[in-house]
Amino acid sequence: MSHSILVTDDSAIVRAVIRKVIALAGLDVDRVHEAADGEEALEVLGRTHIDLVLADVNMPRMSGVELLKRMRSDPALARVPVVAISSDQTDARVDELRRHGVSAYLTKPFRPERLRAVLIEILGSGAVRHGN
Amino acid sequence: MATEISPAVLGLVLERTLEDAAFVFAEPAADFVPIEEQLVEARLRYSSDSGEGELRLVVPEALASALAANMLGEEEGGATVTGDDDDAAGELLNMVAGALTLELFGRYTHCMLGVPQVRRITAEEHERALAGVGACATLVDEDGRRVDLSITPADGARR
Repeated sequence: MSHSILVTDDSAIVRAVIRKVIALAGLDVDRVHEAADGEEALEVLGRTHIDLVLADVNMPRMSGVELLKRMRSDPALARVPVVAISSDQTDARVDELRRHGVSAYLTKPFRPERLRAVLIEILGSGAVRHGN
Repeated sequence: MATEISPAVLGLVLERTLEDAAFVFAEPAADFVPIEEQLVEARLRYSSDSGEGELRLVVPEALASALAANMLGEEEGGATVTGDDDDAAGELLNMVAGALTLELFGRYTHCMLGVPQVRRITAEEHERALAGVGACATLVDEDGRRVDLSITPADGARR
C-alpha cells in the first residue's frame, strides 16, 4: 500500500532535504506534499488524504503545536500521525507536544537514518519497498 | 544545568552545528579575519524562563551558498536561487538557537524561539552591530571564511 506524506516547514531547504531523504529511504511513498506553515498544512489536509505529517514547531502564521492541536480536535484528522521536527531540544517542548498527541519527535539537525527509522515505525514495516 | 553566556560557549555550539547540519568545519579564529563586504545576516529572538534576547549569525554570501549546497547535498554553486542561501543561513541559526538555549538554560526550561529574519548587509552595518552585542564568537572555515555568532541579552549585559 502506497503512502502520502505532508512535510510542513517554513524553510524550503528543510522541506527539500526531507523530500530527498524520503525518496532515498526505499519506502512505499507515492506522494510528498509540502506546506510552509500550519495554515497551509490544514488546507492540504482538508483536500487530500495524508498518511503522515512531518511538522516543524516554530513557523509563522501557525506553529506546529497549534497545527497539532487543530488536528487532534478534528475527527477527520485526529488519527493522522504527526512527527514533530524541531531545533528545540528542551524537555518542556517535548512534553508539550506529547500532551497534544505527537507521534514522534526529531531534533534538527537529524540524521537521515533516524528519520527513516521513525517513518518505518509509524507507517509500519509494510511501508518498506521489497529489496530495501 | 545552565551555563554562563560566553564567546567560548557560542563558538562551541556554532562549530558543532556547522559540522552536523552543513558539513562545514570551522574553528575559532586565531588571528584577526577581515569582514567581507557582502554578508548574509540572520536574526532570531529567544525568550525563556531564564532570560530573553536576540541571536545574530552573519556569514559571507559565498559561505551561505556553500551552506545551502551542503544541506541540499548539491555541488557548491548548484543551489538553485539566492533564496536558498538566505534560507540556509536562517535555518542554521534556528538549529544553533535550539542547541544554544539548551546549553544556556538547561533541559527543563520553557523556551520560545522566534522565526529567523534574514537579510543582506554590508561590512559596515555588521561592524556597527557588533559594537552593541553582549558576546560574540568568530569562527573561520577551511576556506578562510569568517562566521560570527553573537548574542544580545535583553538585560544588556556584555560578556
